[in-house]
Amino acid sequence: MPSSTSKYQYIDCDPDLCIGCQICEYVCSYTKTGEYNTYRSRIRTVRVDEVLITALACRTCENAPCVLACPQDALDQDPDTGIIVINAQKCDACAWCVEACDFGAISVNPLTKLVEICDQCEDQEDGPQCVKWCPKEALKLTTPEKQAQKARRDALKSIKDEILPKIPLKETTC
Amino acid sequence: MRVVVEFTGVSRMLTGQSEVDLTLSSGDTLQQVITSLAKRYPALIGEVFEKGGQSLIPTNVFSLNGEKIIHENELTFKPMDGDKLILLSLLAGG
Amino acid sequence: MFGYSGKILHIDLTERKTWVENKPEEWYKLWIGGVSMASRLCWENIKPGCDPYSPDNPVCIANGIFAGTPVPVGGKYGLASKSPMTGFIGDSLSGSWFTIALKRAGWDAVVIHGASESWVDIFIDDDRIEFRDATKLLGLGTFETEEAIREALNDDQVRSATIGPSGENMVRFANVTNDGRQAGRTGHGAVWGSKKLKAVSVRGTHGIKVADPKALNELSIHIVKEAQGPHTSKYRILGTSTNMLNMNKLGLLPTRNYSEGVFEGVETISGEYLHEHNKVKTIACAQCPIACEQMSMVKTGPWAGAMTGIEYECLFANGSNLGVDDINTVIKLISVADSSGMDAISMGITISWAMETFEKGIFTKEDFKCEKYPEGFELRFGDGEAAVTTAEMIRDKEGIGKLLSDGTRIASSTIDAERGTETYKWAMHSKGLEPAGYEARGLKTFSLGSAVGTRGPCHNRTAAYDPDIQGQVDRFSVDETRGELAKDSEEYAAVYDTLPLCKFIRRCFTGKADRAGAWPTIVNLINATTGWDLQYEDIDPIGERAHTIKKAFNIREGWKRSDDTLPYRWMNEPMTKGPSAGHFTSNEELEYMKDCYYEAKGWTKEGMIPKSKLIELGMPDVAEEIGV
Repeated sequence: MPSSTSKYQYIDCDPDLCIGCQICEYVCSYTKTGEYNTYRSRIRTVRVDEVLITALACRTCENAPCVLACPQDALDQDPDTGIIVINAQKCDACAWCVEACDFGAISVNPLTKLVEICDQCEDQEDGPQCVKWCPKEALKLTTPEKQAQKARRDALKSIKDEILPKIPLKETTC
Repeated sequence: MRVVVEFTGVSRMLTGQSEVDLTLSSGDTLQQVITSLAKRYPALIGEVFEKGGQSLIPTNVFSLNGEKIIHENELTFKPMDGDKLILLSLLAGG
Repeated sequence: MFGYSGKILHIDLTERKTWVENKPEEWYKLWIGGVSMASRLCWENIKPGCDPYSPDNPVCIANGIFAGTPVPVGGKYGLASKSPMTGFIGDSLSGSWFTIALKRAGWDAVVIHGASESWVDIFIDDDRIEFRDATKLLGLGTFETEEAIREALNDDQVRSATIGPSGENMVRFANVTNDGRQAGRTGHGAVWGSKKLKAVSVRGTHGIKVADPKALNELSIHIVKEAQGPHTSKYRILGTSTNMLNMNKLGLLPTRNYSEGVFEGVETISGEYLHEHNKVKTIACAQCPIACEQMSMVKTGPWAGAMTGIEYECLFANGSNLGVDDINTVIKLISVADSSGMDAISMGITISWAMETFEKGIFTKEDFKCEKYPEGFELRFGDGEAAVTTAEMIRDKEGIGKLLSDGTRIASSTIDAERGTETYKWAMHSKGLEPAGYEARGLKTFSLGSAVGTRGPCHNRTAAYDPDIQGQVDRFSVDETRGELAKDSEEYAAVYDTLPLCKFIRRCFTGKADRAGAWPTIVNLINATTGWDLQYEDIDPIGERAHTIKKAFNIREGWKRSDDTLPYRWMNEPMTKGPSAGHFTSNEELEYMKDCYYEAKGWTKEGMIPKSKLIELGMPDVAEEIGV
């Protein structure tokens, strides 16, 4: 019986915490290629009007448009993790999947002639390097369910002031 | 004896206050000022006061009425009644 | 070679020609990068004695050794030309994506010669150089120019260093801005304007390789995490504007054209107030885990919507120094400077000179005629609207704005010559550059540090106020140790300006910011990047060499001992209020400290540099030209 809530994890960035430093891009590209190069990073920061800043990587969509779009059927989705797997023999880097992805999470590598998508550092024992390095802990490996729970808690906190005065609290010590 | 502590910079942000009156017994040193502030405002520990809440983290200093600067290594300083101790987050550059 | 491409790009704007210069690894070991390499390239490529606005004055951009790697705050570059403000070396630092794009494009430095016929945006596309017409970019603000270039190239990875309207109009203290960060001081924007150089844009797509990435990452992640701790909270929570209350409490906050050190209206223009009422978001330069830039916005009133990053230096210069206690006015003034691309410090201090000149009856309403006020207006301390109008007149060189756009030194000498007045007595500059936001009359060691500054008085090339403020010495008196302290402070700063690393990281290595606390980590970072085998004792010479090439440049341009001086006010008028009241730095005190300083530097009594010292520092060619 498949679970009724998505188990697919993905890396999410909180725009309130993200400062746009790009260290996630340097370490991701280093982990994958041994060189620091934002063009080879699977997570990319984006900034608008100097203050709107976040980072985007593959969100392991339940019904992955990239997989559907690929004319060579070179993309598959791991049924357990949701991570997109690239078949090197079939992929000819035509970038059709890049069009299909709504988050700009896929890039083309002209040297390997393949596309590159975040695999959540499956081969690293301490997990996604971007999450490990993020100075402001803006990056989280999360699931849609965890995100929804967080949103609900934040919503409650934001109306805390109206509720709490009506609830008598025991005298706090200091 | 009564001493006024004025918060600026980081300490003002963390305590949400700009001034507080402290009652000390005569002969108390800066050490007592720090321990009582740390007890009253735990948020300052690890940011302005060292983990034990016993001493100042460097670049946080008290200034006596804007003149003398009292450092993290001068905890034996004895404030006098009516003194104003200003807690500054000294900062180079800008 | 790791950490470098070994290639320096030369661009001739007159001939529209480019060529590549290769330097031996020894040259890189001497000059490393940033302000040191930029100043060295300026020494090598300038025609001594040239007019700063002539084609013979090169633009020298030198990259950072750590740019584009996870080394915290390593995304900075150095910029140098002969300064139109001082006639001496004009060196400046900036950082963020432009630096890193230039590193990925594979250039250790760029030297731009000559001057262009028409307005140009040089586009460095990895190793393809394109001269793009920039007429459509004219009149656009600094950040607008960047966005317009990205839009035209349809590529948000293209990063640009630009000038704004102030640079186009050649306001003498115009600056160069990239990614919203300023190479702020000594007038680079005016130099670019004189060359019709509107922008330098870069797209860099190559990966950056270092000698020992594992070691570099291990060192870096430790610093990244330390940078979230108490050593940086003042930067992260409030930013540098924390210094407003600090300086006011110590009686060192320049107020009303440096007439006093305390300002009654400081609370409403403090960092704390800004944080409470106007803050939008704290952002970071690329590669920085601290994030200290407090993006702040005017939310109400006529200037609602004006938004920019607020730093202490621009805040004091356009707040207490103008007698203005309204935070919205200060943000507006700084955003006029930032968007039009001029040094907000020099702008504020030039306006405060004009205010005092008005208050003393030398300037009158008639002097301030403009389109907005055909019969002129009054420019008094505290008048925000008048200050903003004056700032815009400077930007546009409208009416008296043309005189003020030349900065305090030239404006005051012009008025004194025309009207037989003595406004030089309150013209706050030394060597033609307006000073920093530390009242040197209450900081004797900093008085020395400011006087001997190679680019003029500033708080960044020297931190000589540290021993004063920290109470290591008596800040109100002089003694023979001050020469050594000023030398140590400027050469310590010069190491950071050469790598470059932003100085806000210095406590995050080991908790101690002195040489013993910082140099070991810096040695490891350099070796892991370049594969060199530098030792602890190799770091000090990097700072000394960086400072010495700048002094040598100045000597070749005619520096004399008498140039190392302070504004008249600092040397003749005691402050009367606050904890630093009653103090100033007399000529005798300064001359005595200068003697101690030249001696500590190993220079002659006249401040000249012996050949032996220059050869010892690896500059035989410099020794030949100016060594004594």
